[in-house]
Amino acid sequence: MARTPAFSGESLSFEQVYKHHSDLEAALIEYYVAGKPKFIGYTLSEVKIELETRKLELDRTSSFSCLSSIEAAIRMDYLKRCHGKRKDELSLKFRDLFRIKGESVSLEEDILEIWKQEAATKALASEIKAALKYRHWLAHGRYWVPKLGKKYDFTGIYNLTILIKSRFGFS
Amino acid sequence: MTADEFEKFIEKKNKESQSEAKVDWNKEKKEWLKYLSDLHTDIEGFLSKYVKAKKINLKKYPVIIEEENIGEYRANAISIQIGNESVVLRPIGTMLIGSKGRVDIEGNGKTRKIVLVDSRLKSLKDLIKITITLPGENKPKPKAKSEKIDWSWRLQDPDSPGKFLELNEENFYACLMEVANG
Repeated sequence: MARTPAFSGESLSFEQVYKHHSDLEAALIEYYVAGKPKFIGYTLSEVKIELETRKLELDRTSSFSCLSSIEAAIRMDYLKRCHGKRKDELSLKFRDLFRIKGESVSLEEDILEIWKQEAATKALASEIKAALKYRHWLAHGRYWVPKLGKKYDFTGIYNLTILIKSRFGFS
Repeated sequence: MTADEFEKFIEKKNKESQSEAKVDWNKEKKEWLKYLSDLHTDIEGFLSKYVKAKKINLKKYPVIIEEENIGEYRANAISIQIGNESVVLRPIGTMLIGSKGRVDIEGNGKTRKIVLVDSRLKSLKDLIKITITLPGENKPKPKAKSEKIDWSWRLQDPDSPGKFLELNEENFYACLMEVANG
């Protein structure tokens, strides 16, 4: 078995993504408090609308970052199980998959499909697959009308990470 | 949040609403409408020779503005017709940040702003005064808040939103051409 690839150490934990988002949102709101020179001539309504626009954009950027962290966490867990010696069924399935696909494995079609075979994580794995459509829409410039089935925002995606931590039990 | 903090919050909000209640909003509205009328006089002056030669058509018409504390009222907008191009000078109101009034110049999807600001203001930098006090020195006295402001109309510089251009004939023509897609 090939050596475990060295991880970059640059991937963000879910908490880091949350704190970054939270601080930026607070800074944005403070910036938009009436009285800043940039807003000379603005009506209060215009200030509010612009702030909401900025907050929405921040929400999307943070959502993308959070979904990227989810992808990183799942892939890193996959690689650790593939190169480790755990004997549970999930790890054995991952090692079989690795023998066929190695690191060129699809997160959605391969890794998450195996998580879906576990009763405890079936529903959550499906939810992550669905949320990744939002990630793709954000990553590829949002130019098409996405069929997401539900509305995503940072709060909802962060809540997914809380479930992931408790149910996936990453090594 | 303690009960004390909540008490202070209630006090603060009540004081704010009382000081707002002292503002004569009807007087504010009248002043702004007077400045608006003066602006229209200036613009009619800039364009008078073209209007006389029937190369430009100017039309004043009322619009309804609704603003917090003032309510609904009428103000005049101006429509400027140059050939097939139409530009509107739309009054926005007086309840603004750092400005006593604003008129948007709209045409072909573009907008430029004319704002009523302190006549001493040339850029946003003029609003910011930084003083550095060394240990032992006396801090400078803050400017008296009741100082009367001389308001004047300025064009917001489109290339540098923090800067204001004098509203003169030349700058107004350039603005009109830009908005009318000249």
